[in-house]
Amino acid sequence: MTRPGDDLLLAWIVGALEPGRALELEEEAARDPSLHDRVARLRTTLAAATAATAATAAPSWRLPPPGMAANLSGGWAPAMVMSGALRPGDRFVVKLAPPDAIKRAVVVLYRAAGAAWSVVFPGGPDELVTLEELPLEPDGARRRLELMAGPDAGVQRWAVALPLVSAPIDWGLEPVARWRLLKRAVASGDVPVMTVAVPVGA
Amino acid sequence: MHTSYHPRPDTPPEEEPLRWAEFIDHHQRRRGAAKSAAAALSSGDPRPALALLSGWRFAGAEQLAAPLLAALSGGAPRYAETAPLSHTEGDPDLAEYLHRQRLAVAGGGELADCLEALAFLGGEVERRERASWRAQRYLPDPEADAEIGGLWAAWFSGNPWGIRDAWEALLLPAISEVFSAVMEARSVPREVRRAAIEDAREGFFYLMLGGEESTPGWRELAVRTLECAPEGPLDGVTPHPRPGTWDLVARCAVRRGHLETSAAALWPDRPGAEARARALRRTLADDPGAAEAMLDLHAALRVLDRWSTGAHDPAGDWRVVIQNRGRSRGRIRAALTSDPASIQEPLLRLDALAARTRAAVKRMAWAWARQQLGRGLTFDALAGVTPPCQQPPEGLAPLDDDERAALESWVMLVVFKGRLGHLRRWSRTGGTGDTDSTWGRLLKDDLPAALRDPGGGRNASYHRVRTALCEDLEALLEAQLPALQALLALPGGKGLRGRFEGLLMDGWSPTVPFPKSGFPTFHSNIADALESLSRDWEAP
Repeated sequence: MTRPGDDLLLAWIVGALEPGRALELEEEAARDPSLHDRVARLRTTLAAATAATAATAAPSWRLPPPGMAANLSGGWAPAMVMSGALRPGDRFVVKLAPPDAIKRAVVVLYRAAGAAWSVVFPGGPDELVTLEELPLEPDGARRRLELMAGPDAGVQRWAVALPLVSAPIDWGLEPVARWRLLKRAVASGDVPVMTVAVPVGA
Repeated sequence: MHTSYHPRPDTPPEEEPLRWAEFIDHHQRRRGAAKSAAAALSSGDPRPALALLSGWRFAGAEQLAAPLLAALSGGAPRYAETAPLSHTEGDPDLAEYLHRQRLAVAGGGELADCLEALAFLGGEVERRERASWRAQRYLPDPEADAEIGGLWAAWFSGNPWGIRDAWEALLLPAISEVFSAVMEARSVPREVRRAAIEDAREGFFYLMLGGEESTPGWRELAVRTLECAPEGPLDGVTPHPRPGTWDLVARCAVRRGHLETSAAALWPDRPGAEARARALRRTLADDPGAAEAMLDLHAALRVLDRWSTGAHDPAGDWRVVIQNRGRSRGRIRAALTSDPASIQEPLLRLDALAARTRAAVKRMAWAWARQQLGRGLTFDALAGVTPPCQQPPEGLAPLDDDERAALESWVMLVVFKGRLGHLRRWSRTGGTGDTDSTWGRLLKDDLPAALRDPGGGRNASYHRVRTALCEDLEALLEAQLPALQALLALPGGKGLRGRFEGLLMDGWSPTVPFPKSGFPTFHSNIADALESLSRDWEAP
């Protein structure tokens, strides 16, 4: 007789089991009272783990996962043919298919493994670049944005958002406040955005 | 997870346990009924057997039950006569447990035993797979129900961005809770767990939106919510699809692995898959209850097939039932997502919509979290939780018998090389998320040329084989389970290659290169694969 694994018991605890499987466990618990003790222990452990995780969750930019995008398509590749993985400081290229003919600024965000998103470009009004100022790829359709891998080994995430050039940015504000409107516009799907995951070796 | 050995569906666990005298009476009655049914069936009268099998929905229609009855009458597996063992006296639970074991394990015996074992499984299907769903109580909350109804309407209208905050506020707590539980079950380090939960919270809305190649998750969630309807997981869903959806289901079913075999058994006089698909579509469209009956028939035929291979254990029988029903339900769910308009009205009409939606989101999140763990928590190119119901690409024929045999050998080779995870990811998404060279060689060098799309040359494409795997991989692995277990049981050390060959060479496709070395590693890779399959198949 196989004892139910922790996987199944935890699914039961959080209500993720289909009713038939839940019924199986109820019956098993009726036969084997020690199951109640295991469930109680797991419930306590899970509550502690959930509380610890929730308490430290970083505020999110609510960006799409890598490989997905909101109103924007594209991809990434190393800037040159390489024999191994990218290393910190290596260049890579994000290829962006313009979503429309509207003049849009390029905003780049970066997130190291386990860290929060932050805007890394532009750092000031004189750094503003529009999408149409980026060079064209050989396919003549996509724009080429060259970036440099950050210092952190692991899977780095990079995001590119394309707000309207006419959208105001108050450079006098602190960075967090400065990008609040862009953050909201990204979350509401009003700004095209895409994310890529870039593995970087040590 | 093993099956329950409580005697009957009409004896729910919350009732007083059976006393010994009641158990003996129950036991004698069911033995008598099984013997009478077997005798009648042998003399051409199926009615008592159908009455005995009434837990299975197909038993209500003699025509549907015909393939099973034919298999039973034509030299079906036989089981030994059994009576409660003397030392179990006074302990109905133990007596029932041992009775099931003996029914299953005995090599030669009577049709009556076979019918009794099937009757037990049918009762369990009705009790666990239908009645337990109908017994669920979802508490109405007028305010929350109205709110979620408005949010669902926004998804159906195609303009969900405006409801993102409200949608996430309502459902992200469930996503976090479920991801946390899955991570706890796998002992994922806390830092990784925190990042994964954050990614899940961030990715949930995009999962709902869907990617270029994946079904929008909101449609799957809508179908899962409808599965929580008071009628049950299929009966609540099947009245709504339009003919085109049933067409998709039928075309999927008649060309896919074991479902293809069941369809051929049901319509042996229909020439080819197209004709069977038409018959199946008509049956499903004419009678919304037919889907449950078809699923039951398929599951029962799979159990008979399992018995014919010499596998005899009650837990394995039940696993076959729920896996085949689960996969078939997944196919119907996937087909329904292609026509969301057909489920809008019945979904919005459900009472306790908020509670039903939360229940559905938890089940979907569990599957999503496990899928993400299998992909290394990359949240990369979200592929949807239920695989889409795929048709072979235009102009590419389904695999024939030789090609299917070659695919089976190749999948075995993939398991030997420890790349089952890669195969699963690749079959669903077309990528593996890495540049693993072993996987690359398996695909470029070891996959038989006949399984590649025609005309690819150096830039081979694999739509045809991926379509087959997307639908059939789990069934194929299930069929390979006994062989993998036998390989794992082989003693290691010198001569292991010869022992592998002894077990495999008869059925190995000549188009797939049999490995020359690495057998000790294969041994441990098989152990890992079996552990992974066992864990996944225990999933809710």
